Amino acid sequence: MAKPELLSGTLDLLVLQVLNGGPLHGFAIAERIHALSRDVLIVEEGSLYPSLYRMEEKGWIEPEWGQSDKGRRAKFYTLTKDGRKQLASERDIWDRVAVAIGDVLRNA
Amino acid sequence: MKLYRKIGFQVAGLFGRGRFNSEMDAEMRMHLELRIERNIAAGMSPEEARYAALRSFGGVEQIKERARDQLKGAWVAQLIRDLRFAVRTICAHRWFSAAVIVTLALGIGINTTVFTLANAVLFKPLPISGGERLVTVAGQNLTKADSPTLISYPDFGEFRTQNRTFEGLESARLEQVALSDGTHPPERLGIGRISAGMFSMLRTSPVLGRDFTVADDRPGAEAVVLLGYGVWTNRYSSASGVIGSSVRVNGAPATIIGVMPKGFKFPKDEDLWMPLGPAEQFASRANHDLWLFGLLKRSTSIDAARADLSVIAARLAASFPDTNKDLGAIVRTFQDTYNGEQVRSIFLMMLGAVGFVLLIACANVANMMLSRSIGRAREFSVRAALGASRWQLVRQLLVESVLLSCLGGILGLALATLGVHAFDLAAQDTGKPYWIVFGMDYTTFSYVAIISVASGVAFGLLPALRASRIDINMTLKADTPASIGHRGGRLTAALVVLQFALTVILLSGAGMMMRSFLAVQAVNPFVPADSIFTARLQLPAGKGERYADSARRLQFYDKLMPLLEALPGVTQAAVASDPPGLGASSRQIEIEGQPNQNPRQRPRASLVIQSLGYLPLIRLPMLAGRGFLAADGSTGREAAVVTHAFAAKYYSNQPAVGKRFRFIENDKPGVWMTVIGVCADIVPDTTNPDASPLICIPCRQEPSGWMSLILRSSSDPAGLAGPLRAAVQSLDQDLPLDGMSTLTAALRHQQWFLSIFGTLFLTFAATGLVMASVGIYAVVAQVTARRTREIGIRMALGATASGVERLVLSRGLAQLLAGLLLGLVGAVGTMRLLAATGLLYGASSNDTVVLAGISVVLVSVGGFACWLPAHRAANADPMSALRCE
Repeated sequence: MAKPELLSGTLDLLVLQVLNGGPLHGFAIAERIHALSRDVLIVEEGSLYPSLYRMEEKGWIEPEWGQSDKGRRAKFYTLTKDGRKQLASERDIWDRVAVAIGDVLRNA
Repeated sequence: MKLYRKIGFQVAGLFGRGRFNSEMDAEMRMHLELRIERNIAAGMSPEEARYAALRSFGGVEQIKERARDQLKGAWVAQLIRDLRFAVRTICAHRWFSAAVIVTLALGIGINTTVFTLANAVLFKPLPISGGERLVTVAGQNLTKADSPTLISYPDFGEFRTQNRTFEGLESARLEQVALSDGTHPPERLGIGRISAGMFSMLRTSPVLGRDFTVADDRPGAEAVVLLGYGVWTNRYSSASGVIGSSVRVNGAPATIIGVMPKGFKFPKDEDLWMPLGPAEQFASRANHDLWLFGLLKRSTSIDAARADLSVIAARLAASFPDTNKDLGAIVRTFQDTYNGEQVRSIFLMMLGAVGFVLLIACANVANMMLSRSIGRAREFSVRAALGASRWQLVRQLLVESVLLSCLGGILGLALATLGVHAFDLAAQDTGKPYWIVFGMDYTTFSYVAIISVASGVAFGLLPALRASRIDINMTLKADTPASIGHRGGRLTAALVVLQFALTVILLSGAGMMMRSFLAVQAVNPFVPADSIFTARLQLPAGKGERYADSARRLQFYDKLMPLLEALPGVTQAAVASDPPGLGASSRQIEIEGQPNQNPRQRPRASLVIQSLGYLPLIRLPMLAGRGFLAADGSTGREAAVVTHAFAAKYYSNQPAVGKRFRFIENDKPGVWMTVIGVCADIVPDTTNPDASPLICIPCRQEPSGWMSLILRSSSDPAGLAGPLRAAVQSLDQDLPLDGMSTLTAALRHQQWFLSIFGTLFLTFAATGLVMASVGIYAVVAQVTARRTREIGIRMALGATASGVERLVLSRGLAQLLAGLLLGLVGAVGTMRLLAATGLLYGASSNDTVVLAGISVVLVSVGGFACWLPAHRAANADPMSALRCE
């Protein structure tokens, strides 16, 4: 099976959603998305970090240096209030688009 | 995000290093380490795990770069980086950069010069507040679409009181008068007789004294006059005591009440102003002698004003059918009124021409950039290999080219300053309207900025796009500079062809002007212009003035002639309505036996009124009959000498001498005149090649008050000015003389238009030709340099020098000829356009001599530019050619 690619624009949504469960560092975010998608989605580092920095710039997420579980220094990202709002609206859009696409696929 | 952190981010983004960088490093490193651990846990060897992690990660630096680009202000950092790099590159290739900058400076400089001139002439409003709302109103016969007419005084009153679109509507009558005062020599000056509200409408008040009031305009008011600043400084040495003193205007006393500001010569080139005052001819609606100037109300369109006045005009036409039938009103902007179609078209044409020059410059620079980008292919490959994206490469190159063109623009601005200044000097004495001032202003600066950036993008984009499309492997592996691709070669060739085509078009314009200029020089070859001195005289001949009676005028000329002949060095003297080549009036005529009732189809003749001795003085050869005798022109002996062209046109094959014709003025026939002689053809007016054939009549027959004195001198004619003035003023104190110069100088002055614009077009064309030639030289040289080894082998195998030369030359020549052919097509169009303007004397729309001349010039100059590198290549030593790489 061909490697499924993330739809453009959906990476931000996934990252925000994953961070909704609590602060995570970059690697963990990638891993979590991979796992939650049952190993289907692979987040490439080349997309992940630009996305993280962009959302940080927009104030949706906030970084903080802390200790990882193995005692390493790591940069953890936390969802901000703005980020939560953004997540809600992006989810809303996604839901409607998904339903719409589903309808088309079913009924066409 | 906390504020200090945010600022820190942006600063870090600007400089691309520091804490931000190290944080990013740490983050990525940790990510990699975790990935490696995960791989080892999955059973890979440490070595394998590391490679796998790195592979999946991709380019760390690229990710960092892209992450950094997400920051606000990142583009500033990029721009600074690109600029820094561009400056380094420009400095590193010093000569290349200098060539590019000079080429662009020429293109932009010439372009800016002409833009500044055109802006001043065509678009800049009068420098008063609300100047862009200033319009003129004229009459026009709606059925004939004739040229606009002036407006009668009663109609002016109606327009003024009934309109709803004008803030102010004032009128002026423009004349030439003699200003005298007993202490200074009399002077002939332009006067505006204006309605009293004119200057307050223009929001301009005198710098000294007072403006006109309504009282000055009433019947019986004391005559008052306002001086122009130039008259005040030159004639009255800026003395403030001049206010209140009395002068004579056309011999009638008037009191000076004020001085207008420096440079103010409204409406066109006037030096004096008097109140319009009541005048006899103002009573009639049939006398159209007023110019109307109006200021539109704020936010009123000119179309609204047109509609408004048309309604009034229609009402007038209905009420006064005798005088106003079919008479409409037209409203034009101030500029349009004074810039005829010709001025407009010549400036638009110049704008087009300099557009071509800039295009040639850009094509040239594009070619240079293109050929250099081939030399830089390896640099680009390395940068691409290190992770630069295509967009980054293109951006870098564009920054470089825009920086180059901005440097060129700065130098070009300096050139333009010189050019505008030179043009201003050349146009000083041409009678241009006072409000046309040639100087740089903020419009010029913004124009330079815009065309600099635009040309930077124009010449940078193609080479940048091409350079960025590279095959890294091929270029890095090749040990010699990459050869130009087939497509790159075609692009270069197309640019060269374009340059030559545009040059041909420019040359055709310059060629036409030069030819016209030469044609004018060769006009009237029999006239000994160098030894002829002329001056203008105007006898005030209006109603009630000193010379109103034609007998008085004749008497004056009869007394003047012996005085003129007695001047030192003068061998012959005459008066004539116009000196040869400087003009002629035009009249409707009727040939005896060929009556024509339709006034618009009546034959016309150009007319020169002249005294005895004029024809011999200008050495006009007689072909048949005789010249004038003293008695010719007296009542019953009305006579005329006609040119050969006149005789041929109206008497076809019969002998003209003894035939009769008469003038028809305002539909009323004059007395019959007998043709007493036929003279050779003469061009009466070098600015009007389409003038009707000329006739000469004796001064006695029609003693005009407006005459030129024409003297032939055996010594230097320039010394005649003083004695001539003294002689005239010994007869009449108040008579000014002006336009005193040799005929040669006067003819040259009349040609200012051709000489200024001819020089300009020649400069454009020469610049274009040099650029295009340098361009083709560079391209051929480049190609030759890349083929040095091939040429060496060919020569080693026995090719002759001329064979090699032909090989290298053929490509260049093919491009040259393609450009020539393409350009000739455009040139024919240009010539048609130029000829249609009617600006050029003796211009034909299909001048094969000019076309042939252009071809010869282009092929020889361009051919030489191609031949030079070819010759060098062919005469190279084959051994050194083989070793060169």
